[in-house]
Amino acid sequence: MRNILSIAAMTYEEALRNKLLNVLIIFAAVAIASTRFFVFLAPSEELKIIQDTSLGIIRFIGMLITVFVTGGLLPREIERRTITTVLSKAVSRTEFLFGKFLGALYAIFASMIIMSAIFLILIYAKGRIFNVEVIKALILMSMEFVVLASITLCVSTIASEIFNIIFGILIFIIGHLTNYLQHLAEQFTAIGMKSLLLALYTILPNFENFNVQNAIVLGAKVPLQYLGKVISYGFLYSVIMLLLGYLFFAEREI
Amino acid sequence: MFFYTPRIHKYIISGIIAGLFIVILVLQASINYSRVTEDLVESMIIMPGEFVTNFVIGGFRGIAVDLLWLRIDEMWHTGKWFDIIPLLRAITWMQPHFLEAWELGAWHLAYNCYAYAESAGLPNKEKYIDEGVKFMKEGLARNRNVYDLWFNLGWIYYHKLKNYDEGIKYFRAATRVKHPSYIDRLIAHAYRKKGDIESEYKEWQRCLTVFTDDKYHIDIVKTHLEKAKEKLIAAGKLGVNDK
Repeated sequence: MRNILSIAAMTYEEALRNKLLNVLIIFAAVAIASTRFFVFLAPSEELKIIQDTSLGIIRFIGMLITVFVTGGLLPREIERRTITTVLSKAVSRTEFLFGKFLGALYAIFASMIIMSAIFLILIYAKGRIFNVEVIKALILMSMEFVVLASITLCVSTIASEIFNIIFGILIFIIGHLTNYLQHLAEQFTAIGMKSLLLALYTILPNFENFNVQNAIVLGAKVPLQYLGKVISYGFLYSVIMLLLGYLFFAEREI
Repeated sequence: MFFYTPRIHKYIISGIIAGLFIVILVLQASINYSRVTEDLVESMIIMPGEFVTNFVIGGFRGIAVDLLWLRIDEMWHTGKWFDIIPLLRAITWMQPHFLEAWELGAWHLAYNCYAYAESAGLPNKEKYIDEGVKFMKEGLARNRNVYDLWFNLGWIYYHKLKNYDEGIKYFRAATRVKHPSYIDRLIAHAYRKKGDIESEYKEWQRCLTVFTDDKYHIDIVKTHLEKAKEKLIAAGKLGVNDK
């Protein structure tokens, strides 16, 4: 466990030194804060505009941060040959993989906390209200990034950094369209096609589970039971991806 | 254990992964059910071939809607009344639960476009009221569990078309979900405007049984109840001592 925590701490420090991560966080902060300035154009919908736009920015920048931080973790270590030094010092591949994942999560959560804090201050300053539903949306969004990080890390055990980043962005987009596979499967009567689509529906992540943004902005409430189910889904999916990554990484020649 | 080879280890891990996928499948079905029952689905209204739109906009349709809303504001101030309608429709496609868009669209068609057509001497000005009603009914089909659109449709019938029967029908539907007290009172007013004093009197009596904690509501209802009673007595339909 100590090895995992040490690797996680190192990964986190390395991520903080990454200029791209800092630039993305600053960009997000400026973009979120600037939503305050154009709301005067629609006086009756100010809060909706701030919430919609800010949550969209956090989701987009959060996705980029996750993909960029996680996509390069293993390929960079392999390219620099630092991985051989670490693995020769009583650190198992499993500890290394989980340590890297944990370190990436530290960095992702840190950036989420910064972006969320700016956003929450902004809506509090605007409406003098503290909307718990917004916090729930942010929690679900964070869980979405945990899943995305686990997928990107899993792929990074066998692929290059560039491939991981492109794959991560694509899986994020596809993950938001997974529901269509189910609707599509209902249209087919042929068992083969139906089974294929349902298999894809099960295997691919369903990121729409984590998306309650539009509903809460329009006044819906997210029950705690739903929150629990989706967090369990995210946790299980991440465990699957890490186990797969572990299988790939164990086979990989370094 | 001597028989625990790396290959068996791999098989066990693969088995765990397969098992977890089955759990995920069950969990996903439960999540899908919750999303529908808790009204957390904000699917776009799109035609089957148009899912590309969803692909492009993805999770950022809220921003797209806000930008369109801002554009409507700009058009409003520059007097482009008829150009606003397609934008409003686009908004309702992307966020069908955005009630203000349905309300604004229907009101704009039934009131503003009608008034403009009337002042400009355009033929068939009534079609704008029909369009407004149609637009609101479309929104109503997707937002049946909130009072807003039931009330607003009732209002168009009541205020614009003077069709009190239809107005009453939609106001009454609005009272079946959580609603403010003035809708109950509007039903009685609609009966009054229709000239049906007996139904009006019964409606005011019913109003006394709802929102009993709201002193403002009860005071107004009592005043109107007295007036309706006087009218009924004058018409000989009620005795002085009758309740």
